[in-house]
Amino acid sequence: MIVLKSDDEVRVMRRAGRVVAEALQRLGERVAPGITTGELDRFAEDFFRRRGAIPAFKGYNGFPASICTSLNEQVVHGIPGPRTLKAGEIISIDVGAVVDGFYGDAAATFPVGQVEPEVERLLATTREALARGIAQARVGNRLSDISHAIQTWVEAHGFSVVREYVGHGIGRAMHEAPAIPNYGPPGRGPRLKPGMTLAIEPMVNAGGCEVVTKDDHWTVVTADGEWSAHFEHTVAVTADGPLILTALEEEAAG
Amino acid sequence: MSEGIAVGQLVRSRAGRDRGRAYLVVEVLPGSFVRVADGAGRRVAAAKRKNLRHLIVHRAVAAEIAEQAALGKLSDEQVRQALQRLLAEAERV
Repeated sequence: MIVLKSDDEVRVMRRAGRVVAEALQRLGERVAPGITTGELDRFAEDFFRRRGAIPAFKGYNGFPASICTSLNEQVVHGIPGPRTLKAGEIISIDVGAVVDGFYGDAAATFPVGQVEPEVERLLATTREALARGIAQARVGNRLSDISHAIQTWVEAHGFSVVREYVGHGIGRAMHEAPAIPNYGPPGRGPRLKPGMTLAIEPMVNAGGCEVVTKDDHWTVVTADGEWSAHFEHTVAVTADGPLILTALEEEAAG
Repeated sequence: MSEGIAVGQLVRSRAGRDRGRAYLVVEVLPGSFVRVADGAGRRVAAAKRKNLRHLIVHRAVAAEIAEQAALGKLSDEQVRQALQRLLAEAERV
């Protein structure tokens, strides 16, 4: 069952989303050669506590940290620790927070210093795939119109979409119905209605789409070792079009 | 944080006549549903549409099932073998 949120509930989710957006922006400003992923995690946790928000990931199914930090060939769910960032690498940071009982969830991949042009293209393509998916989050569309827009854009640029992990409904729980694959034909799944709140999150590999989970049971890496990017927003479907809840400023997409 | 639900993933029915029975996901549908099969009583060609709420989703995934399904060549024999393997692995841990 997809839980529809009232306008008031969407407003609370916007507050949660703004805290997430600010955290992600500040984390992005701190991404530089020499900083460790553990330092980023501590910054995020302090930031959430100062803002009266609860880190959503800490303790989720046993996840040990407040953010996910996934480097280079790591796709998602990397665990922060002593690893130091080096120039030329990329880091995907996934952030979630709870405010007044509602969740916000967003992610972005940041370059560490200067990266290769092909890596830059991977990031730009994934960011744009998310924008194209969000643009389909309109009343009357079907859920898989989002999926199809993402897959089409990614594959037209020679990259591949991860299948094993999907976007999700979000609200009073981090993972609600519906599941939102980043692949598949258009025109399938439930029709989108005002009050649906969706975490849309393409995970895009420079090489093949296959992924493997490491022995820590969390870190997901590409099977071929090629690098991977991840961008995510929490979005509300409204009568006026998609509303990005994890944007820094008010922003209606498309 | 993305949700893990993949073709080839081990699931178990938590409700209905088939409660407790193990299946593999053979298709992830947009929304709240997946299609599941075990290659025996529930064949790939007649995969059952299941609400995710009515399934316990385990972590184990048979990667070869996703590959074969993507090629449109998934057989009941492959599902049976992969399911047996995942269940045997699950018992060891």
